[in-house]
Amino acid sequence: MARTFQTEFDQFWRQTCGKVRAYMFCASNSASDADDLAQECYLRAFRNWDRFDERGSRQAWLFAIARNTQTDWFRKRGRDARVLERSLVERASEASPPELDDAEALWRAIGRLTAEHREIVHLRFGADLSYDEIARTLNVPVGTVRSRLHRALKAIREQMEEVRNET
Amino acid sequence: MKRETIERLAMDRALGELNEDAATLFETYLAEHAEARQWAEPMTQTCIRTRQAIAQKTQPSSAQLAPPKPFRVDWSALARWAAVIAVAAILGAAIGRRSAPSPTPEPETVIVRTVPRQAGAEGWRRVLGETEEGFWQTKAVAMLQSQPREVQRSTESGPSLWDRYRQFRKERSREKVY
Repeated sequence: MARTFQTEFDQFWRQTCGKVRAYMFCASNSASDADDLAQECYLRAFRNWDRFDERGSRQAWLFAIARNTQTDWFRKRGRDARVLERSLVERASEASPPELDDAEALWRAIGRLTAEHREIVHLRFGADLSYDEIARTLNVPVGTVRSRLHRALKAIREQMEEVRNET
Repeated sequence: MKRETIERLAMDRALGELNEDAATLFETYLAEHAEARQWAEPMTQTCIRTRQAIAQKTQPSSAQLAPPKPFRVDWSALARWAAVIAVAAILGAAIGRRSAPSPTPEPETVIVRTVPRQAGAEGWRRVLGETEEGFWQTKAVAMLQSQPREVQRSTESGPSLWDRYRQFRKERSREKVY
């Protein structure tokens, strides 16, 4: 019984660890913080493994834990959602050096998005979740996910155009 | 179709969220409508570049993640280590037994007999012959040289350098006296 659980969890970890870590990295912009967050997330998942409702998606359940882990972690470090948002905006608003490459400019553009839009971008492009999985994770309809993502991408495009016009 | 609809469909297609039939229909529509193509293209590009930018940031680090090895008792490794420790213990005991001193060391007595020189008597006679007590002195020296001495050799600790020097001085003075 214990061995089965261990194998099952190990397999689940292998399938999802890259996604979880990428999602954590998107939020923290730090490799070490992302590792800490991912570790904490899996620890919580391990403890609550039996509390998962089998009718839902295990991955969506994991990312719901990942979201909560992020929130708690930043709060514990004295960086609540607002502070985090402000720091991300400040970081993104820093004067762009002329040699800034396209990827870095885009990364900063993502940092300037609202928390809601940024999160959906992180879940879609960082964690590589489908619309359906994002909807389950955030507990919103799929249509909401689509519209939020569309608005987020539009905002990114507009900001990139601004950067291009400035340079 | 409206611009927003075109953009959303372009986004869905770029993210692989459109099914095959819907994607084919959308492609056909874009092929027929140049304006729709112009609206769709920037959204497609934004999706591709966003994915690339995030992957560039996150993938190298996530690739470093190695899957954890579940803790399992490796009995064969344990047995190997146990064998190595046992061999080392046996070797250590054997070496220790060979190099240890005997348990009850007994001081041995060695009799050292000073052999008179070949030309001892004549030599002494030649040296001391001219003195007044030539005969007696020669006899005393000869007796002294042929007298066996007992030297006790102890395994505990040998005479110190100072003791050996004192003994040497004593013998020298004795020789001078005779």
